[in-house]
Formats: sequence, structure tokens, C-alpha cells
Amino acid sequence: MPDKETPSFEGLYKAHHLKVQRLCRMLLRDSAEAEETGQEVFLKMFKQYQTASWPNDWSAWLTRVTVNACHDRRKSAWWKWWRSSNGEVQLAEYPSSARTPEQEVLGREQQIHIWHAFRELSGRQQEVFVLRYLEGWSTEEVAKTLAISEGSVKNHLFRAVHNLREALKNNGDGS
Amino acid sequence: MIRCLEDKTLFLLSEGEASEEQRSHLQSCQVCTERYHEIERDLRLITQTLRREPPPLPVTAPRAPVLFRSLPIAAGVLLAITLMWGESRLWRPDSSSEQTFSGDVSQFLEQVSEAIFDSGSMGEVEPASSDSDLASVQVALGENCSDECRGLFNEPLATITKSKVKAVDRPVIAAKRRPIDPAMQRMVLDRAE
Repeated sequence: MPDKETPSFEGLYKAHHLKVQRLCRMLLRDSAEAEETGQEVFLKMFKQYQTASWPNDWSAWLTRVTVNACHDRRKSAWWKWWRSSNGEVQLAEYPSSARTPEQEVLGREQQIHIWHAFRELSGRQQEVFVLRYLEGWSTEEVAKTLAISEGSVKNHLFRAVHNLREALKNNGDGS
Repeated sequence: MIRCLEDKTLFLLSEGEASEEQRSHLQSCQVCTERYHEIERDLRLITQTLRREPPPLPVTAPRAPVLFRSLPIAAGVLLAITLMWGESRLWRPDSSSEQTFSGDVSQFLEQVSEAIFDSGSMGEVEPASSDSDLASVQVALGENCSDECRGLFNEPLATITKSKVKAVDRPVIAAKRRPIDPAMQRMVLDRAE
């Protein structure tokens, strides 16, 4: 149970909600779905917060719960239908970092290609890539969280990297 | 000396997994070293891009599943088929009743014809008395229509036929009446006198 020294639920929410939302938006394709899944994750966190068994690392716990929640969401038939009806990738306006307009345009195109290629990856490949390269987890931790073998994690990771690099090459050839 | 490494082996090397032999090849082979650095560079670029804020996701209004989306179309098609069927049913003539009716009429006319022109020898036409003809017609038409038959019999044949045709309501093709030649008319009247 929480006491004065332990973090409050509000504090945990403020510290992690951006990261959870970001993960949901990466692994899901629709912003409303991502929002809903994020709320679902924090509801689970609230339930966990009320129990006596707290995780050692809330951040890792939230990452694992979020990835699994997105995985479950994608497995539903409703999600499959939803995903097939959406396809466009539009890039947000990033702050310019003293680059020429040509570089800016090329950079934007490259980013769009990378994001598009990432969205084209399978759900499992996305999960493995995010946990391994963006969250910085080890192969063993990824395998444990996703309940798959380490060999399978490496295979998914290699295919994900290969597809993303192909997208980069195609962009380079095209421009 | 082993051959150049595959992409997957280079990727595993970047993950810190490979045999000693593969590591030594990577250090000695310029091509593999370049490819390895290329993988690392690409991976760094991809990771940097994906670490940035993801692009805004499209918000889509929930669409009904395919089954429900096609429901109005199916209903429209069904309605059109029903209307077409109803239309054809409404305007189609009732062939069965017409056939029965025309069959009855032709049978009746045959009986009348037999009664009038007594089917004996066609060549020897004897002048039949009006009483015997009336009796024949009555036999043909039944006992309950004696008055009606008498009336019909007293009228000229052309009038009877005309009235019957009218009763049957057959489509009558109106022939163009030619103007009577006055000379011809005079000649006919003279002969009649």
C-alpha cells in the first residue's frame, strides 16, 4: 500500500503518461484507439497501485503492459478491419534544426518513408523493434515480456531492420 | 578464410553475437566492414527518426462493417426487383381465363353453325323450314333459352353474328368503307324491284 515515501498515483501518471501514449501511437494506427488503449493501461496501473504487490520498476511494468495491451488490441477482428481501412502517413511539423530547405524536404521525405515502413511491419516486429531499440531492453527481456524465444526475437528484429533499411534505400534511389 | 558475411550475420554481429571466425573476418575484410558500418548507420538513423514524435495518426469515423454497409444496396435491389415483378404481374393479361372464354364461345358458335347449316350433304342444300331450324338451335343452346334463341333466329344472320362478335368483345378490325357508286346502287335497286 502507498505511504508518504512512495510515489502517488498522480505522480506516476504525470511521469509516464506521455511515454505510454507515444508507445500506443507507435504500435497502433488510429489516434482514438491509441488514446483508448492508453487509458486502459492506466486503469490497470490504478488497479495494480491499489494492491499490495507493486512492481520494482513502474516504467518497465508500464512498458510491458502497454505493449501487451496494444498486441491484444491488434489481435481483435475489429482492429484488423480498422487497420485495413487506414493507410496514409502524414508527418508532423518538426522544429527546424538549421538545415537548408532542400535538406529539410529530403529529411522530411526520408522520415515519412521510415515511418511508413515502420507502419508496414508486422505487429510483432514493431513490438520487438520498439522494446529493443527505442526502449533499450535486452533480447532476453524482450523475449520474456513477449513470451517468445530469444531466437524468435532476433529473427523478428532482423526482418524489421531489413525492411526499414530497404525503405531507406528506396528513398535514396528515388530522390 | 571464409567468404563475405551475410546481412543477417552482420546484423547479429551488431547485436554482439557471432563466432570468433566471423569477427576476425569482419576485421580483415574491407567490404564487410563497410557493410557493417552501413547497417549501424542506417539503424542509428532509423532509431533517431522513430524516437521523435510519431506522425499524427488519422482519426477515422467508425465505419460500419461491410455486411451493414451493403445492406441499403441490397434493400434497394430487392425493392427494384419487387416493383418490376409487381408491375409485370399487374399488366400481364390473364391468359388462362381468356382461353377458356374464347374456347366456350367457339364451341357455342360451332354448335350454332351445325344447327343452322345442318351437317348433312354440303352439296345438296335444301331450303329448311324456320320451325325446324329453331328447334335445332334450341337443342344446341339448351332448353332454358328458348325466348332468347327465338329472338336470335328471327333476326337476320348478319345481325346475329354482329351481336355475338360484340358480346365476345373480340378486337374488330375496322375496314374502310368504300363510297358506293350511285350507278351501281341504282342497278341493284332496279333488280330488287
